[in-house]
Amino acid sequence: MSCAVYQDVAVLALFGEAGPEELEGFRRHIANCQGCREEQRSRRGVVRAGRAVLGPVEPPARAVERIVAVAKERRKESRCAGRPLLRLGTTIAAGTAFATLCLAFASSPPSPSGVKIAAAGIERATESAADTGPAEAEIDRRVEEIGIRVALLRDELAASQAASIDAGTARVSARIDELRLELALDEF
Amino acid sequence: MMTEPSDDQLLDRHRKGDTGAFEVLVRRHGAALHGFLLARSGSAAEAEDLFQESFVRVLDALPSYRERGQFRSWLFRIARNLAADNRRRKLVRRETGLEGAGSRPGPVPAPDEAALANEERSRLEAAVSRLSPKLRETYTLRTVSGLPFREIAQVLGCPLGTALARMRYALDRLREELGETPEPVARNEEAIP
Repeated sequence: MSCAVYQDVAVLALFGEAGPEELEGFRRHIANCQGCREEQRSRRGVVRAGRAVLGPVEPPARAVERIVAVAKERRKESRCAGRPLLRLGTTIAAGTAFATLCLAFASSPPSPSGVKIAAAGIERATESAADTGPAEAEIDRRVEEIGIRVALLRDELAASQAASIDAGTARVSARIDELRLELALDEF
Repeated sequence: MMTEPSDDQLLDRHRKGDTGAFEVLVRRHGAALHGFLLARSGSAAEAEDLFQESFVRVLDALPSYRERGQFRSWLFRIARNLAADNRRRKLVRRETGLEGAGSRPGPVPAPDEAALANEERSRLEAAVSRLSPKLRETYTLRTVSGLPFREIAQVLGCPLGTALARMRYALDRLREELGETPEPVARNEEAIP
């Protein structure tokens, strides 16, 4: 068989990566091919010299220590950010803040005091999430409390939106009646 | 019999709060990666920086790590990209006159003083440094870092056949440069027919 067929196997064989069948075929080939045999012997010398000179190099201890310190720091950060109850608390706080903001702007035009109340609500909600201590029971209690407040605010918002929609619909209906009347008068 | 945890198992442990797991990973792949970066950059200080930066990038990218069972090639890909960026930055600085020509990477530094005579080592280092970047990278990843060709292909983003061909060219180029090479006792002896 042609020498070119064994080009890849020859390289794999130098590093012990050739499969048993491939290796056997290659061995049979070089037994009968002096050119490939010499070439392989010469390449083997380069590989061995390279390995002897250029092996793996242990990194400086300080570099490993720095990486380990960063890993611990990141781990600590992600543990705080990743605690499900804290995440839930933050989400609820954000929800509360959003709902409070919506309520403040639901009255038209938005009153400065409404905005202030909303801002205070956001601050309180954020603080209550940030203050969450390590005690799981306390966290549960606060999450439940915030959840109830969010539910109440949602109800208020829905009622406010419904009232606003009713008022708007009535205004549009009245305007349509006026236009119809004007049209009828024009036609007349 | 106790078996060593796999890279992915160590990553899982790290995610679950085992602070020692990542250190095991760093120590497991440290020498291979550092040797590769040293051979690639030719500067101990640069290799150390790149080594640290590679693992920090790994920490940053861990949430998106999906290549199960391929941590090592992922790590080396990150390191290789960082080294390439670093090299590009250096070239730009040199071209714009912001950096002196003295910072050009020299020959590969010697990792093992006792392995070969200095003269012989210098010849090999010089010959390796004269290889084209692609050939040198392939040769270093296999000879220095001990990555199998399948992983080398993943790191370099090329087919396995290309990685094998590059190694063949690299070896033949080194043979031409070095002439007949004596066969010293290798540190990592493997079956060679």
